[in-house]
Amino acid sequence: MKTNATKWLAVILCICLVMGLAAGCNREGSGGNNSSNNGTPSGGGSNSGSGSGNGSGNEELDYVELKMWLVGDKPEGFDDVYAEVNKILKEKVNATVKVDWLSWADEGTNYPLLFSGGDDFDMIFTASSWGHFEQTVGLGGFLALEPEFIQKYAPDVWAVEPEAAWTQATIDGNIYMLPANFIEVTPDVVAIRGDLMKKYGFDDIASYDQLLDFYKACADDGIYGNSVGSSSVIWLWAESNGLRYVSGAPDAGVLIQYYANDPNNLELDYLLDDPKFTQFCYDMKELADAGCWPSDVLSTTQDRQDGLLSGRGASMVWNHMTCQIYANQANAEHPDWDINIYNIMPEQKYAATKYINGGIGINAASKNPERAMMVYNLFATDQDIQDLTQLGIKGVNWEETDDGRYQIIEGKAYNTSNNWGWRNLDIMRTEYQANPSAVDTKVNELAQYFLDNVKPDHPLDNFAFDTTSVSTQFAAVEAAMGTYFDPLINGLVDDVDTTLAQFRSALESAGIQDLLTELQKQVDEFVAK
Amino acid sequence: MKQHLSNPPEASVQKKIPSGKLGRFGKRVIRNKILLLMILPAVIYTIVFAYYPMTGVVMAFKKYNYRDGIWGSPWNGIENFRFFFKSGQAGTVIRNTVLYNVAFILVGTVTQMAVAIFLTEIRSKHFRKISQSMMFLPYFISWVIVGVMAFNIFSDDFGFLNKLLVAMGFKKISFYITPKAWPFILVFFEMWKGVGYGSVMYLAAIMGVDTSIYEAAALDGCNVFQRIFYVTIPSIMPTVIILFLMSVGRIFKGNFDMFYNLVGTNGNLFNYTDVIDTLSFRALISSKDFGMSAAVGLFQSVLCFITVVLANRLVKAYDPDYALF
Repeated sequence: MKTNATKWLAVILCICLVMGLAAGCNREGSGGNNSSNNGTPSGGGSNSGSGSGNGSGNEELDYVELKMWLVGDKPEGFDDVYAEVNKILKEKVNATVKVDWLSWADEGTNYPLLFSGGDDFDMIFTASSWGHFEQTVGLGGFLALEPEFIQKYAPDVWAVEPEAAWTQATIDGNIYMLPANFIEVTPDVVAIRGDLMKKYGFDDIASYDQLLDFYKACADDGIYGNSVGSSSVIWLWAESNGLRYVSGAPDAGVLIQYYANDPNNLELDYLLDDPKFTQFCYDMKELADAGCWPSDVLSTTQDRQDGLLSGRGASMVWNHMTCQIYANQANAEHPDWDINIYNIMPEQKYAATKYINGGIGINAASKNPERAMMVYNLFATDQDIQDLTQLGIKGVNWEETDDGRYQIIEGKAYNTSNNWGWRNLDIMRTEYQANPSAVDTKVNELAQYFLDNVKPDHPLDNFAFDTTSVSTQFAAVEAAMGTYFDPLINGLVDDVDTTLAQFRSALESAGIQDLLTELQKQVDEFVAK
Repeated sequence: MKQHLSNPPEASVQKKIPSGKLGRFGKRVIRNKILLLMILPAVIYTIVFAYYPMTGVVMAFKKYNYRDGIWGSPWNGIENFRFFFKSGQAGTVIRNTVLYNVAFILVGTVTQMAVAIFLTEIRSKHFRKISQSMMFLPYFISWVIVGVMAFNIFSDDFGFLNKLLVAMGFKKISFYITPKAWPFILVFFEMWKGVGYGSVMYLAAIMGVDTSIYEAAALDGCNVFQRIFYVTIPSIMPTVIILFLMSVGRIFKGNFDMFYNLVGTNGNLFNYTDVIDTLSFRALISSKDFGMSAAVGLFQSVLCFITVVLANRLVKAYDPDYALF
C-alpha cells in the first residue's frame, strides 16, 4: 500500500517536472521568436534613424514593419483593404503596418496594459477622454512631438491641420497626439415613432419639455417612452441648457459642467449646487414613477436602439447619424411606425467635436518614431489610403460617381471601423444617395442646420482637467458616484431630497471640494494664458 | 504517520559519515537529493508564479508611471490607500465582502457535503453518474452568461419569474430596485454554480474512508443516518477543515466576475451587493491608477493573511492534527 502510494507520487511529480520543462521551453521558444522578430525592425530602425539624420531627402529607407493598435472590432474585409494600404506604404516609404485590434469589450483594461506591459508597438489610436489620451499622457505613455519633428517627418499633416488641433493636442506645453483633421457637429437628437405622436396629438416635438410630455403620454398608453431610461436624457438636458462637461475627468466629469455656449461666462457649474439639476432629478423621478422606462434599466443589457427596434419603446436618443441608421432599419421592418428624427433644441447653438476626439499617439518606447510619422503622413493625406480606410476597395466595395462622390455597391459595403485617427475632411468623399428616405432627407437638413449654427468658441473648450495632483480624491469621488448618480438621474430612488443629501455628503467626504478648488485653479491659469 | 517520520533511520546513517566540511545541512541535502529533486519543480513554480510577482506590491507605495516603470517610479507613502477610505463606502464594502464570503463558506460547505454524501449513498450507478454530471455542468458556465440568465429571470418585462407571477395573478416584483433580494439571489447562484465542483473533494474523501469501519458499523446495527453522522462525517472532517481554512484565506476578496456580471453598475443595489473588488474597479477604471489598484489588492491580502493565521490558530487549539501549518 505504502510503496504503491510512493510510486504514484513519483509518477505524478515526474509528470509535473516534464510538463514544467515543456512549458518552460515553449515560453522560451516563443520569447526567442519574438525577440528575433523585434531584432530586425529595431536594427532597421536605428539604421534608418541615422540615415534620415544625415539628410531628410534620403531615398534609401530600410524596410520596417510598424505595429499599430486600433480600438474596436476588426471589420470584415479588413485584411484585404490593408493589403492594399500596405502596397502603397511599401512603395512610398518602404514600410508596412501590422494592425492589431483592442476590442470594445476589454479595451478599457487592455489599453493601459499595452504600455505597462512593454508591448512593442509604434502607433496607437487615442482620443480625448474616452480614448485614454489624458490618462496615458499623465502616465508618460506617448512620445512628445516637437513641432520641428512633425514638420520634418509629417509635413503634409502639419500643412493641413488647423492651429486649434495642435492646441488641443498640447498638454503641459508638449504635443502628444496627431489629431485627425476632422470635426463633426453631432448634438443628440431623438428618433420618435410618428404613429404614436399622431395618436397622442403631437404635431412636432421641438423642446425638452415637449419630449417629457410625450414620454408621459406613452406611459399612459402602456408603452415605454424611452426603454433604456434617462442616462441618455441627461445629455439632452445638459445640451438644451447650453451646458457641456469639462474634459479630462471621465465619469465624475459629468458633475462639473460649464456654460459652453456663452464665451463670456467662465463659471463652472457644479451640478449638486445647481437648482436646475435638482429639478431634473425630480422630473426623472416623476417619469420613472409614471412608467416611462422599466425599473431594471440600471442592469439592462439593452442598447439604446433596442427598445425602438423591438417596439417596447417609442423613441431613442443618439446623434443624428446613429439615429438615422436605426430609424431606417425600423421603418423598413414596420412601415406604419413612421419614425423620424427630431431636434429638441432648435434655439441652441451646437458644439463641434474637438480635433482630439480621434487621433494617433506615438508610443514613447517606439523604436521607429520617424517612420511612424511618415506612415501617418500618408494615412492622413494620401487620397488612396483615405478612400481605402474609409470606404474599402474601389470597384469592390464602392464606385466613384462623376462628381467625385462615392456610391456603395449594393450589399458590398465595407463596414469600416476606427479610421478615426486619420480622417481628413479635406479629402474625404461624401455619399451619393440614389433614393433618400424621409429620414435621410431630414437628417441631411439637420446636419446642414447644425453646421450652420456652430456655437462660438469658448475658452474652456480646449481645456482638459489634469487630475494627477488630486488623484486620491478623484478615485474616491468616482467610487461614490456609482452608488447615487445613476439611480438619481433615472428617477429610481425613494426620495430625491434624501438621496441628493446622501450623495452630497458622500462627495464631500470623498473630497469633491479639493477637486473643485484644483479645477478652478487650473481653469484660472488656463484662461490667464 | 508522524511517528514514522520522526523515528529517524538517519540517526544510524549519521554516525557512519564523519562530520566534514559540509556540516549537518549539507549532509542532509546529499542524503535526500532524490526527494529534493522531486520537490524542485513545485518550488520553482511557486517562486516564479507566486513569490516573484509578489515583488509587484511595491507598486502600492508608488506613484506609478509608464516611463519609470515599477522600480523607477517615485515613492508615494501610503497615499494610494487613502482613496479607499475616503470614498465613504469602505465600511459597507468590507462588511459585504466578509458577509458574502461567510455565507458562501457556510452554505457552500453544507450543500457540498450533503451532495457528496447523497451521491455516495445512492445505489444506482447510472443515476449517480448522471446527477453528478448535471450538477457539475454549471461550473463551466461563465459568469457573463450567468449574468444574462439572471437578467432573463428577474427583469421586469422579459423576466421568467415576473411572467410567472403575473400569470398566477400576483403583482410584479422589481428585483432590480429591491436590494434586499440580492443576498439570496447571489448566494443561490454561487451555490448552483459551485456545488458540483465543490462536492468532488468531499466525494474523494468519502471514498478514502476505510470500508472496514462501515462493515463494523453495519454489524453493530447502524442505520443510514447513524452511519452518516457517526462514521462518514467524522471521517472527512480533516478535509472539511482544510477546505474551510483555504476559503477563509480568501475571505476579503470578492468574486469580481460574479458580482460585476450579476449586479453591474446598478447603484440601487450597491448597499447590499458592493464588494471591495467592484468598488475599486469602479473607482479606478477611468483613472487607471495602478498604484491605487495595487494598494487595494495588498490591503485585501494582508487582511486575508491575518484571518487565515487566526483561523488556523483556532483550529490548532481545537485539534492540532487538523491545522494547516
